[in-house]
Amino acid sequence: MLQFAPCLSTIDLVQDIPVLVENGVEMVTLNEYELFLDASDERLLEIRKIFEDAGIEIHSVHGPTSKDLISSDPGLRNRSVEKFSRLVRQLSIAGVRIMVFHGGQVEDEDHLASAFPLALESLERLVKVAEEHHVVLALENDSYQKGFPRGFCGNSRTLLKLLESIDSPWLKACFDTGHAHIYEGIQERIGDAIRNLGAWIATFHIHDNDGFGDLHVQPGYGTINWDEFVSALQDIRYEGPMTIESGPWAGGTYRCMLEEVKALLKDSGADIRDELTLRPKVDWLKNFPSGWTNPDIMIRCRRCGHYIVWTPEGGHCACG
Amino acid sequence: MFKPAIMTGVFSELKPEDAIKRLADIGWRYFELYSAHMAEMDKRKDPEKHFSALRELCERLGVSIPAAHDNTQGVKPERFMRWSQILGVKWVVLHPSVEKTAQENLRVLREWVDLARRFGVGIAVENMHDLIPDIEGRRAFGATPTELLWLVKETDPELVGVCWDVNHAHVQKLDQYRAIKQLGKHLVHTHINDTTTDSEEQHLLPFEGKVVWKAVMKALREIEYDGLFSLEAGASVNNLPLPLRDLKLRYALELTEAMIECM
Repeated sequence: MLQFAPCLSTIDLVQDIPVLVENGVEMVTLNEYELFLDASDERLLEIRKIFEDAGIEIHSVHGPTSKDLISSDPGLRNRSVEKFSRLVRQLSIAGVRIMVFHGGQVEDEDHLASAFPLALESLERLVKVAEEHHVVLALENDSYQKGFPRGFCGNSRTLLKLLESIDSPWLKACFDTGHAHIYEGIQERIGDAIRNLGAWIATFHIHDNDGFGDLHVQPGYGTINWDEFVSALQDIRYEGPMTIESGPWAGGTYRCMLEEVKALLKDSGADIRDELTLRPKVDWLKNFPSGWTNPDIMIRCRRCGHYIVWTPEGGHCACG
Repeated sequence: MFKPAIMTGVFSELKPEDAIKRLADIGWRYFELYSAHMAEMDKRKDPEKHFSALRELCERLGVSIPAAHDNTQGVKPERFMRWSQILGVKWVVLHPSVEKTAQENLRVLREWVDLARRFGVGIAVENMHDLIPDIEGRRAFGATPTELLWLVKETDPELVGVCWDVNHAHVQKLDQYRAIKQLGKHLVHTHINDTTTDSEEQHLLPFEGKVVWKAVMKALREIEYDGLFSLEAGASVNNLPLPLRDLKLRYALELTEAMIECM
Protein backbone atom coordinates (compact mmCIF):
# COMPACT_ATOMS: atom_id res chain seq x y z
CA MET A 1 0.00 0.00 0.00
CA LEU A 2 1.53 3.30 -1.08
CA GLN A 3 1.93 6.05 1.51
CA PHE A 4 2.66 9.69 0.85
CA ALA A 5 4.84 12.16 2.69
CA PRO A 6 4.42 15.84 1.84
CA CYS A 7 7.75 17.61 1.73
CA LEU A 8 8.28 20.73 3.85
CA SER A 9 10.95 23.14 2.68
CA THR A 10 11.19 24.69 6.12
CA ILE A 11 9.30 23.89 9.28
CA ASP A 12 8.22 25.83 12.34
CA LEU A 13 7.62 23.07 14.86
CA VAL A 14 5.15 25.16 16.86
CA GLN A 15 3.05 26.49 14.00
CA ASP A 16 3.33 23.81 11.31
CA ILE A 17 2.81 20.56 13.24
CA PRO A 18 -0.82 21.39 14.19
CA VAL A 19 -1.49 22.29 10.53
CA LEU A 20 -0.10 18.94 9.40
CA VAL A 21 -2.19 17.07 11.97
CA GLU A 22 -5.30 19.01 10.98
CA ASN A 23 -4.67 18.01 7.36
CA GLY A 24 -4.39 14.32 8.14
CA VAL A 25 -0.65 14.16 7.35
CA GLU A 26 0.90 11.04 8.92
CA MET A 27 4.33 11.21 7.30
CA VAL A 28 6.59 14.05 6.15
CA THR A 29 9.88 14.63 4.43
CA LEU A 30 11.92 17.58 5.66
CA ASN A 31 14.25 19.63 3.51
CA GLU A 32 15.45 21.61 6.49
CA TYR A 33 18.45 19.48 7.46
CA GLU A 34 19.69 22.49 9.49
CA LEU A 35 17.08 21.58 12.10
CA PHE A 36 19.21 18.52 12.91
CA LEU A 37 22.79 19.26 11.86
CA ASP A 38 24.00 21.27 14.84
CA ALA A 39 21.34 20.34 17.37
CA SER A 40 22.34 18.84 20.71
CA ASP A 41 21.35 15.22 21.41
CA GLU A 42 18.71 16.51 23.83
CA ARG A 43 17.21 18.73 21.16
CA LEU A 44 17.21 15.87 18.64
CA LEU A 45 15.29 13.69 21.09
CA GLU A 46 12.92 16.56 21.74
CA ILE A 47 12.28 16.96 17.98
CA ARG A 48 11.73 13.21 17.71
CA LYS A 49 9.18 13.35 20.54
CA ILE A 50 7.34 16.31 19.01
CA PHE A 51 6.74 14.34 15.83
CA GLU A 52 5.93 11.10 17.67
CA ASP A 53 3.41 12.86 19.90
CA ALA A 54 1.77 14.36 16.81
CA GLY A 55 1.57 10.91 15.19
CA ILE A 56 3.76 12.03 12.28
CA GLU A 57 6.68 9.98 10.99
CA ILE A 58 9.67 11.75 9.46
CA HIS A 59 10.04 9.60 6.38
CA SER A 60 13.28 11.19 5.20
CA VAL A 61 15.43 14.30 5.38
CA HIS A 62 17.10 15.93 2.41
CA GLY A 63 20.79 16.52 2.96
CA PRO A 64 22.73 19.70 2.21
CA THR A 65 24.20 20.61 -1.14
CA SER A 66 26.48 17.82 -2.26
CA LYS A 67 28.44 19.52 -5.01
CA ASP A 68 31.73 19.04 -3.17
CA LEU A 69 31.15 15.34 -2.61
CA ILE A 70 33.06 14.64 -5.83
CA SER A 71 35.22 17.76 -5.81
CA SER A 72 38.71 17.42 -7.27
CA ASP A 73 39.92 19.23 -4.15
CA PRO A 74 40.49 16.56 -1.44
CA GLY A 75 39.96 19.14 1.31
CA LEU A 76 36.54 20.18 0.02
CA ARG A 77 35.59 16.54 -0.55
CA ASN A 78 36.59 15.62 2.98
CA ARG A 79 34.61 18.52 4.48
CA SER A 80 31.57 17.46 2.50
CA VAL A 81 31.81 13.82 3.65
CA GLU A 82 32.29 14.95 7.23
CA LYS A 83 29.21 17.20 7.05
CA PHE A 84 27.09 14.37 5.64
CA SER A 85 28.48 11.94 8.21
CA ARG A 86 27.55 14.28 11.02
CA LEU A 87 24.05 14.65 9.63
CA VAL A 88 23.64 10.86 9.40
CA ARG A 89 24.54 10.52 13.07
CA GLN A 90 22.15 13.31 14.03
CA LEU A 91 19.30 11.84 11.99
CA SER A 92 19.79 8.52 13.67
CA ILE A 93 19.27 10.08 17.10
CA ALA A 94 16.18 11.88 15.80
CA GLY A 95 14.78 8.56 14.58
CA VAL A 96 15.02 9.40 10.86
CA ARG A 97 15.85 6.36 8.76
CA ILE A 98 16.50 7.82 5.28
CA MET A 99 18.79 10.65 4.22
CA VAL A 100 18.32 11.71 0.60
CA PHE A 101 21.21 13.40 -1.19
CA HIS A 102 22.65 14.14 -4.60
CA GLY A 103 25.77 12.57 -6.03
CA GLY A 104 27.80 15.72 -6.53
CA GLN A 105 28.35 18.22 -9.29
CA VAL A 106 30.70 17.93 -12.27
CA GLU A 107 32.35 21.14 -13.40
CA ASP A 108 33.65 20.25 -16.87
CA GLU A 109 34.59 17.36 -19.18
CA ASP A 110 37.85 16.64 -17.33
CA HIS A 111 36.06 16.55 -14.02
CA LEU A 112 33.40 14.27 -15.47
CA ALA A 113 36.09 11.82 -16.56
CA SER A 114 37.52 11.63 -13.04
CA ALA A 115 34.27 11.89 -11.07
CA PHE A 116 33.36 8.22 -10.71
CA PRO A 117 36.31 7.13 -8.50
CA LEU A 118 35.92 10.34 -6.46
CA ALA A 119 32.25 9.52 -5.90
CA LEU A 120 33.09 5.95 -4.93
CA GLU A 121 35.66 7.14 -2.42
CA SER A 122 33.21 9.54 -0.75
CA LEU A 123 30.33 7.08 -0.80
CA GLU A 124 32.38 4.24 0.68
CA ARG A 125 33.20 6.47 3.65
CA LEU A 126 29.59 7.56 4.02
CA VAL A 127 28.21 4.05 3.81
CA LYS A 128 30.31 2.98 6.80
CA VAL A 129 28.77 5.80 8.84
CA ALA A 130 25.29 4.95 7.57
CA GLU A 131 25.70 1.31 8.55
CA GLU A 132 26.93 2.26 12.00
CA HIS A 133 23.92 4.51 12.59
CA HIS A 134 21.32 2.50 10.67
CA VAL A 135 20.36 5.27 8.31
CA VAL A 136 19.79 4.47 4.63
CA LEU A 137 21.50 6.84 2.22
CA ALA A 138 19.23 7.44 -0.78
CA LEU A 139 21.13 8.81 -3.76
CA GLU A 140 18.91 10.88 -6.01
CA ASN A 141 18.90 11.09 -9.81
CA ASP A 142 19.68 14.65 -10.91
CA SER A 143 17.78 16.82 -13.31
CA TYR A 144 19.08 17.16 -16.87
CA GLN A 145 21.06 20.27 -17.56
CA LYS A 146 22.86 21.10 -20.74
CA GLY A 147 26.55 21.87 -20.35
CA PHE A 148 28.43 22.33 -17.08
CA PRO A 149 28.25 22.48 -14.13
CA ARG A 150 25.67 19.71 -13.77
CA GLY A 151 24.69 16.90 -11.44
CA PHE A 152 26.79 13.76 -11.74
CA CYS A 153 23.96 11.23 -11.33
CA GLY A 154 21.89 12.41 -14.24
CA ASN A 155 20.48 9.09 -15.38
CA SER A 156 19.68 5.67 -13.97
CA ARG A 157 22.77 4.07 -15.51
CA THR A 158 25.28 6.25 -13.64
CA LEU A 159 23.26 5.87 -10.47
CA LEU A 160 23.03 2.09 -10.87
CA LYS A 161 26.73 1.78 -11.58
CA LEU A 162 27.53 3.59 -8.33
CA LEU A 163 25.05 1.55 -6.30
CA GLU A 164 26.26 -1.76 -7.71
CA SER A 165 29.89 -0.81 -7.19
CA ILE A 166 29.32 -0.08 -3.50
CA ASP A 167 26.73 -2.86 -3.15
CA SER A 168 25.49 -2.07 0.35
CA PRO A 169 21.98 -2.22 1.82
CA TRP A 170 22.78 1.22 3.31
CA LEU A 171 23.17 2.92 -0.05
CA LYS A 172 20.04 2.94 -2.20
CA ALA A 173 18.35 5.24 -4.70
CA CYS A 174 15.76 7.96 -4.35
CA PHE A 175 14.03 8.14 -7.71
CA ASP A 176 12.91 11.66 -8.58
CA THR A 177 10.11 11.75 -11.18
CA GLY A 178 10.49 15.44 -12.01
CA HIS A 179 14.21 15.17 -12.69
CA ALA A 180 13.70 12.02 -14.74
CA HIS A 181 10.94 13.66 -16.78
CA ILE A 182 13.33 16.35 -18.01
CA TYR A 183 15.61 13.53 -19.15
CA GLU A 184 12.77 11.87 -21.07
CA GLY A 185 13.21 14.21 -24.01
CA ILE A 186 16.97 13.46 -24.04
CA GLN A 187 17.33 9.79 -23.31
CA GLU A 188 15.45 7.38 -21.01
CA ARG A 189 11.75 7.12 -20.20
CA ILE A 190 10.67 7.34 -16.55
CA GLY A 191 9.32 3.79 -16.63
CA ASP A 192 12.55 2.40 -18.06
CA ALA A 193 14.67 4.26 -15.50
CA ILE A 194 12.55 2.91 -12.62
CA ARG A 195 12.71 -0.64 -13.96
CA ASN A 196 16.45 -0.25 -14.46
CA LEU A 197 16.98 0.70 -10.82
CA GLY A 198 14.38 -1.81 -9.55
CA ALA A 199 14.97 -2.99 -5.98
CA TRP A 200 17.69 -0.39 -5.46
CA ILE A 201 14.98 2.23 -5.04
CA ALA A 202 14.46 2.99 -1.34
CA THR A 203 12.08 5.89 -1.84
CA PHE A 204 10.63 8.27 -4.42
CA HIS A 205 10.37 12.00 -4.86
CA ILE A 206 7.26 12.57 -6.90
CA HIS A 207 6.52 15.91 -8.52
CA ASP A 208 5.65 17.14 -11.99
CA ASN A 209 6.86 19.63 -14.60
CA ASP A 210 6.58 20.57 -18.25
CA GLY A 211 9.47 18.37 -19.37
CA PHE A 212 11.85 21.32 -19.63
CA GLY A 213 12.25 23.02 -16.23
CA ASP A 214 12.52 21.40 -12.80
CA LEU A 215 9.33 23.10 -11.69
CA HIS A 216 8.38 20.90 -8.70
CA VAL A 217 4.65 21.21 -9.27
CA GLN A 218 2.13 18.87 -7.72
CA PRO A 219 1.81 15.52 -9.54
CA GLY A 220 -0.93 15.76 -12.15
CA TYR A 221 -0.39 19.42 -13.02
CA GLY A 222 2.48 18.81 -15.43
CA THR A 223 3.10 16.48 -18.33
CA ILE A 224 4.40 13.29 -16.67
CA ASN A 225 2.65 10.13 -17.80
CA TRP A 226 1.54 8.83 -14.40
CA ASP A 227 0.05 5.65 -15.90
CA GLU A 228 3.55 4.73 -17.04
CA PHE A 229 4.96 5.61 -13.61
CA VAL A 230 2.46 3.38 -11.79
CA SER A 231 3.01 0.56 -14.26
CA ALA A 232 6.76 0.68 -13.53
CA LEU A 233 6.07 0.77 -9.76
CA GLN A 234 4.04 -2.39 -10.11
CA ASP A 235 6.75 -4.06 -12.19
CA ILE A 236 9.35 -3.49 -9.47
CA ARG A 237 6.75 -4.25 -6.74
CA TYR A 238 7.40 -1.01 -4.89
CA GLU A 239 4.96 -0.51 -2.04
CA GLY A 240 6.80 1.86 0.30
CA PRO A 241 6.31 5.52 1.11
CA MET A 242 6.99 8.29 -1.36
CA THR A 243 7.66 11.98 -0.87
CA ILE A 244 5.49 14.50 -2.69
CA GLU A 245 8.25 16.99 -3.38
CA SER A 246 6.05 19.92 -4.29
CA GLY A 247 3.88 22.36 -2.46
CA PRO A 248 0.12 21.92 -2.78
CA TRP A 249 -1.07 23.23 -6.15
CA ALA A 250 -2.13 26.90 -6.19
CA GLY A 251 -3.23 27.65 -2.65
CA GLY A 252 -4.48 24.15 -1.83
CA THR A 253 -4.03 22.47 1.55
CA TYR A 254 -1.95 19.40 2.35
CA ARG A 255 -5.19 17.42 2.69
CA CYS A 256 -6.26 18.58 -0.72
CA MET A 257 -2.87 17.66 -2.23
CA LEU A 258 -2.89 14.21 -0.64
CA GLU A 259 -6.39 13.50 -1.93
CA GLU A 260 -5.58 14.67 -5.46
CA VAL A 261 -2.34 12.69 -5.65
CA LYS A 262 -3.96 9.55 -4.28
CA ALA A 263 -6.83 9.87 -6.74
CA LEU A 264 -4.44 10.48 -9.64
CA LEU A 265 -2.30 7.44 -8.89
CA LYS A 266 -5.27 5.22 -8.00
CA ASP A 267 -6.78 6.07 -11.39
CA SER A 268 -3.48 4.92 -12.90
CA GLY A 269 -3.80 1.59 -11.12
CA ALA A 270 -1.86 2.13 -7.89
CA ASP A 271 -2.78 0.19 -4.76
CA ILE A 272 -4.46 2.91 -2.70
CA ARG A 273 -7.19 2.16 -0.18
CA ASP A 274 -9.10 5.47 -0.23
CA GLU A 275 -12.14 5.61 -2.49
CA LEU A 276 -11.03 8.55 -4.58
CA THR A 277 -10.93 9.25 -8.29
CA LEU A 278 -10.44 12.22 -10.60
CA ARG A 279 -12.75 10.67 -13.17
CA PRO A 280 -16.42 11.53 -12.76
CA LYS A 281 -19.09 8.89 -13.24
CA VAL A 282 -20.35 8.63 -16.81
CA ASP A 283 -23.94 9.13 -15.55
CA TRP A 284 -22.93 12.52 -14.16
CA LEU A 285 -21.19 13.52 -17.39
CA LYS A 286 -24.35 12.69 -19.35
CA ASN A 287 -26.04 15.65 -17.61
CA PHE A 288 -24.06 17.96 -19.87
CA PRO A 289 -25.63 18.88 -23.21
CA SER A 290 -22.47 17.78 -24.99
CA GLY A 291 -23.02 14.28 -23.63
CA TRP A 292 -19.39 13.56 -22.75
CA THR A 293 -18.75 9.90 -22.14
CA ASN A 294 -14.95 9.71 -22.30
CA PRO A 295 -14.05 7.70 -19.16
CA ASP A 296 -10.60 9.35 -18.93
CA ILE A 297 -11.91 12.89 -18.63
CA MET A 298 -10.83 14.89 -15.58
CA ILE A 299 -12.41 18.20 -14.62
CA ARG A 300 -10.77 21.25 -13.09
CA CYS A 301 -12.56 23.97 -11.16
CA ARG A 302 -12.51 27.29 -12.99
CA ARG A 303 -12.26 29.21 -9.73
CA CYS A 304 -9.39 27.45 -7.90
CA GLY A 305 -7.83 25.63 -10.83
CA HIS A 306 -7.75 22.31 -8.94
CA TYR A 307 -8.98 18.94 -10.14
CA ILE A 308 -12.35 17.86 -8.85
CA VAL A 309 -11.86 14.81 -6.65
CA TRP A 310 -14.73 12.33 -6.61
CA THR A 311 -15.68 10.18 -3.62
CA PRO A 312 -18.76 7.95 -3.33
CA GLU A 313 -20.52 11.02 -1.86
CA GLY A 314 -19.79 13.31 -4.82
CA GLY A 315 -17.16 15.72 -6.12
CA HIS A 316 -15.22 18.48 -4.42
CA CYS A 317 -12.23 20.70 -5.15
CA ALA A 318 -9.90 22.99 -3.20
CA CYS A 319 -12.48 25.76 -2.93
CA GLY A 320 -15.55 23.74 -2.11
CA MET B 1 26.35 36.79 -1.91
CA PHE B 2 23.40 39.08 -2.44
CA LYS B 3 23.50 42.72 -1.40
CA PRO B 4 21.10 44.98 0.53
CA ALA B 5 19.34 47.54 -1.66
CA ILE B 6 16.34 49.82 -1.34
CA MET B 7 13.85 51.43 -3.67
CA THR B 8 14.16 55.22 -3.74
CA GLY B 9 10.37 55.42 -3.32
CA VAL B 10 10.86 55.40 0.46
CA PHE B 11 11.44 59.13 -0.10
CA SER B 12 8.79 59.51 -2.77
CA GLU B 13 8.18 63.17 -1.88
CA LEU B 14 11.83 64.10 -2.47
CA LYS B 15 13.64 64.57 -5.76
CA PRO B 16 15.61 61.43 -6.66
CA GLU B 17 18.93 63.20 -6.10
CA ASP B 18 17.89 64.17 -2.57
CA ALA B 19 16.45 60.73 -1.86
CA ILE B 20 19.72 59.08 -2.85
CA LYS B 21 21.84 61.53 -0.84
CA ARG B 22 19.68 60.91 2.21
CA LEU B 23 19.79 57.11 1.80
CA ALA B 24 23.55 57.20 1.21
CA ASP B 25 23.97 59.19 4.44
CA ILE B 26 22.13 56.43 6.28
CA GLY B 27 24.51 53.87 4.79
CA TRP B 28 22.61 52.37 1.85
CA ARG B 29 24.84 51.63 -1.15
CA TYR B 30 22.58 50.09 -3.81
CA PHE B 31 19.34 51.54 -5.13
CA GLU B 32 16.40 50.68 -7.31
CA LEU B 33 15.07 53.83 -8.92
CA TYR B 34 11.38 54.29 -8.12
CA SER B 35 9.16 54.57 -11.20
CA ALA B 36 7.80 58.00 -10.18
CA HIS B 37 11.35 59.28 -9.74
CA MET B 38 12.22 58.06 -13.23
CA ALA B 39 9.09 59.76 -14.60
CA GLU B 40 9.82 63.03 -12.80
CA MET B 41 13.32 63.18 -14.26
CA ASP B 42 12.05 62.17 -17.70
CA LYS B 43 9.82 65.26 -17.73
CA ARG B 44 12.64 67.68 -16.90
CA LYS B 45 14.16 69.92 -19.51
CA ASP B 46 17.25 68.21 -20.93
CA PRO B 47 16.74 64.97 -18.99
CA GLU B 48 19.94 63.44 -20.36
CA LYS B 49 21.96 66.06 -18.50
CA HIS B 50 20.06 65.33 -15.28
CA PHE B 51 20.48 61.55 -15.58
CA SER B 52 24.21 62.00 -16.25
CA ALA B 53 24.45 64.28 -13.22
CA LEU B 54 22.66 61.70 -11.09
CA ARG B 55 25.12 59.04 -12.22
CA GLU B 56 28.00 61.36 -11.30
CA LEU B 57 26.41 62.07 -7.93
CA CYS B 58 26.19 58.33 -7.25
CA GLU B 59 29.83 57.86 -8.21
CA ARG B 60 30.87 60.68 -5.85
CA LEU B 61 28.84 59.12 -3.04
CA GLY B 62 30.22 55.64 -3.74
CA VAL B 63 26.75 54.24 -4.45
CA SER B 64 25.01 52.87 -7.53
CA ILE B 65 21.59 52.29 -9.09
CA PRO B 66 21.70 48.74 -10.44
CA ALA B 67 17.90 48.54 -10.92
CA ALA B 68 15.03 50.73 -12.09
CA HIS B 69 11.37 49.93 -11.48
CA ASP B 70 8.85 49.45 -14.24
CA ASN B 71 7.27 51.78 -16.68
CA THR B 72 3.92 52.30 -14.95
CA GLN B 73 4.38 56.10 -14.95
CA GLY B 74 4.22 56.48 -18.70
CA VAL B 75 7.89 56.90 -19.60
CA LYS B 76 8.26 55.61 -23.14
CA PRO B 77 10.21 52.30 -23.29
CA GLU B 78 13.01 53.68 -25.45
CA ARG B 79 13.55 56.65 -23.14
CA PHE B 80 13.28 54.43 -20.07
CA MET B 81 16.07 52.21 -21.40
CA ARG B 82 18.18 55.14 -22.50
CA TRP B 83 18.00 56.76 -19.06
CA SER B 84 18.69 53.39 -17.45
CA GLN B 85 21.80 52.98 -19.57
CA ILE B 86 23.07 56.40 -18.50
CA LEU B 87 22.47 55.54 -14.84
CA GLY B 88 24.35 52.25 -15.18
CA VAL B 89 21.23 50.21 -14.44
CA LYS B 90 21.74 46.47 -14.88
CA TRP B 91 18.09 45.37 -14.62
CA VAL B 92 14.91 47.20 -15.53
CA VAL B 93 12.00 45.63 -13.66
CA LEU B 94 8.83 45.17 -15.73
CA HIS B 95 5.37 44.05 -14.71
CA PRO B 96 3.69 41.63 -17.11
CA SER B 97 0.23 42.76 -18.26
CA VAL B 98 -1.86 40.58 -16.02
CA GLU B 99 -5.03 40.71 -18.09
CA LYS B 100 -3.34 40.08 -21.43
CA THR B 101 -2.64 36.66 -22.88
CA ALA B 102 0.71 34.93 -22.76
CA GLN B 103 1.30 35.64 -26.44
CA GLU B 104 0.47 39.34 -26.07
CA ASN B 105 2.87 39.58 -23.15
CA LEU B 106 5.54 37.84 -25.18
CA ARG B 107 5.05 40.24 -28.08
CA VAL B 108 5.45 43.30 -25.84
CA LEU B 109 8.44 41.79 -24.04
CA ARG B 110 10.17 41.10 -27.34
CA GLU B 111 9.95 44.81 -28.15
CA TRP B 112 11.61 45.56 -24.81
CA VAL B 113 14.25 42.91 -25.49
CA ASP B 114 15.20 44.67 -28.73
CA LEU B 115 15.78 47.80 -26.68
CA ALA B 116 17.63 45.84 -24.02
CA ARG B 117 20.02 44.58 -26.67
CA ARG B 118 20.48 48.09 -28.07
CA PHE B 119 21.14 49.76 -24.73
CA GLY B 120 22.87 46.88 -22.94
CA VAL B 121 20.38 46.87 -20.06
CA GLY B 122 18.73 43.63 -18.84
CA ILE B 123 15.03 43.10 -18.14
CA ALA B 124 13.68 41.49 -14.98
CA VAL B 125 10.06 40.38 -15.34
CA GLU B 126 8.24 40.53 -12.01
CA ASN B 127 5.83 37.91 -10.64
CA MET B 128 2.25 39.14 -10.21
CA HIS B 129 -0.73 37.62 -8.34
CA ASP B 130 -4.26 36.59 -9.19
CA LEU B 131 -5.93 39.27 -7.07
CA ILE B 132 -4.54 42.08 -9.22
CA PRO B 133 -7.24 41.79 -11.91
CA ASP B 134 -9.77 42.08 -9.01
CA ILE B 135 -12.22 39.76 -10.74
CA GLU B 136 -13.20 36.60 -8.90
CA GLY B 137 -11.92 33.51 -10.64
CA ARG B 138 -9.74 35.47 -13.09
CA ARG B 139 -6.11 34.41 -13.33
CA ALA B 140 -3.34 36.97 -13.69
CA PHE B 141 -0.71 36.23 -16.29
CA GLY B 142 2.77 36.16 -14.74
CA ALA B 143 1.68 34.97 -11.31
CA THR B 144 3.58 31.68 -11.43
CA PRO B 145 7.25 30.84 -11.95
CA THR B 146 6.29 28.66 -14.91
CA GLU B 147 4.81 31.59 -16.83
CA LEU B 148 7.79 33.82 -16.06
CA LEU B 149 10.28 31.15 -17.09
CA TRP B 150 8.35 30.68 -20.30
CA LEU B 151 8.79 34.38 -21.09
CA VAL B 152 12.50 34.15 -20.29
CA LYS B 153 13.05 31.10 -22.46
CA GLU B 154 10.98 32.46 -25.37
CA THR B 155 13.04 35.66 -25.46
CA ASP B 156 16.69 35.72 -24.41
CA PRO B 157 17.82 34.21 -21.09
CA GLU B 158 21.01 36.28 -21.29
CA LEU B 159 19.05 39.54 -21.32
CA VAL B 160 15.84 38.57 -19.54
CA GLY B 161 15.48 37.26 -16.01
CA VAL B 162 12.93 37.24 -13.22
CA CYS B 163 12.32 39.69 -10.38
CA TRP B 164 10.82 37.85 -7.40
CA ASP B 165 8.36 39.96 -5.42
CA VAL B 166 7.96 38.17 -2.09
CA ASN B 167 4.70 39.96 -1.26
CA HIS B 168 3.09 39.03 -4.59
CA ALA B 169 4.14 35.41 -4.13
CA HIS B 170 2.64 35.36 -0.64
CA VAL B 171 -0.71 36.66 -1.88
CA GLN B 172 -0.57 34.08 -4.70
CA LYS B 173 -0.08 31.47 -1.91
CA LEU B 174 3.02 30.04 -3.53
CA ASP B 175 5.57 27.99 -1.65
CA GLN B 176 8.34 30.59 -1.71
CA TYR B 177 11.11 28.05 -1.30
CA ARG B 178 9.96 25.87 -4.18
CA ALA B 179 9.15 28.82 -6.41
CA ILE B 180 12.54 30.47 -5.96
CA LYS B 181 14.26 27.15 -6.50
CA GLN B 182 12.31 26.78 -9.76
CA LEU B 183 13.63 30.09 -10.95
CA GLY B 184 17.21 29.15 -10.11
CA LYS B 185 19.78 31.02 -12.16
CA HIS B 186 17.04 33.00 -13.94
CA LEU B 187 16.32 34.96 -10.75
CA VAL B 188 18.14 38.26 -11.22
CA HIS B 189 16.37 40.68 -8.89
CA THR B 190 14.10 40.70 -5.83
CA HIS B 191 11.47 42.89 -4.24
CA ILE B 192 11.68 42.27 -0.52
CA ASN B 193 8.51 43.12 1.35
CA ASP B 194 6.04 41.63 3.82
CA THR B 195 2.29 41.58 4.38
CA THR B 196 0.04 40.86 7.35
CA THR B 197 -2.75 39.41 5.22
CA ASP B 198 -3.05 36.67 2.61
CA SER B 199 -5.11 38.80 0.26
CA GLU B 200 -3.37 42.15 -0.02
CA GLU B 201 0.13 43.36 -0.77
CA GLN B 202 1.19 45.79 1.92
CA HIS B 203 4.87 46.51 1.26
CA LEU B 204 6.01 46.18 4.87
CA LEU B 205 9.51 45.42 6.13
CA PRO B 206 10.51 41.78 6.60
CA PHE B 207 9.06 40.19 9.75
CA GLU B 208 6.32 42.81 10.02
CA GLY B 209 3.97 40.38 8.27
CA LYS B 210 3.35 36.70 7.61
CA VAL B 211 5.98 35.81 5.03
CA VAL B 212 8.08 32.78 6.01
CA TRP B 213 11.50 34.43 5.64
CA LYS B 214 13.38 31.30 6.57
CA ALA B 215 12.07 29.65 3.39
CA VAL B 216 12.91 32.67 1.22
CA MET B 217 16.47 32.98 2.54
CA LYS B 218 17.15 29.24 2.34
CA ALA B 219 16.06 29.18 -1.30
CA LEU B 220 18.10 32.28 -2.21
CA ARG B 221 21.19 30.72 -0.69
CA GLU B 222 20.63 27.37 -2.36
CA ILE B 223 20.35 28.89 -5.83
CA GLU B 224 23.45 30.97 -5.06
CA TYR B 225 21.59 34.19 -5.80
CA ASP B 226 24.00 37.09 -6.13
CA GLY B 227 21.73 40.00 -7.12
CA LEU B 228 20.14 42.70 -5.01
CA PHE B 229 18.02 42.04 -1.92
CA SER B 230 15.95 45.08 -2.70
CA LEU B 231 13.57 46.44 -0.09
CA GLU B 232 10.24 47.66 -1.41
CA ALA B 233 8.78 48.63 1.91
CA GLY B 234 7.30 52.07 1.37
CA ALA B 235 4.16 51.38 3.40
CA SER B 236 6.27 50.66 6.45
CA VAL B 237 7.99 54.06 6.40
CA ASN B 238 6.09 56.57 4.27
CA ASN B 239 3.85 57.82 7.08
CA LEU B 240 6.84 58.75 9.22
CA PRO B 241 8.04 62.37 9.28
CA LEU B 242 11.39 62.64 7.48
CA PRO B 243 13.70 62.66 10.56
CA LEU B 244 11.90 59.64 12.01
CA ARG B 245 11.97 57.93 8.64
CA ASP B 246 15.77 58.11 8.67
CA LEU B 247 15.72 56.17 11.94
CA LYS B 248 13.56 53.42 10.53
CA LEU B 249 15.57 53.22 7.33
CA ARG B 250 18.72 52.82 9.43
CA TYR B 251 16.99 49.98 11.24
CA ALA B 252 15.89 48.56 7.85
CA LEU B 253 19.50 48.53 6.66
CA GLU B 254 20.71 46.76 9.78
CA LEU B 255 17.84 44.30 9.56
CA THR B 256 18.59 43.55 5.91
CA GLU B 257 22.31 43.14 6.54
CA ALA B 258 21.61 40.83 9.46
CA MET B 259 19.20 38.73 7.38
CA ILE B 260 21.80 38.33 4.67
CA GLU B 261 24.53 37.49 7.14
CA CYS B 262 22.72 35.28 9.64
CA MET B 263 19.71 33.60 8.00
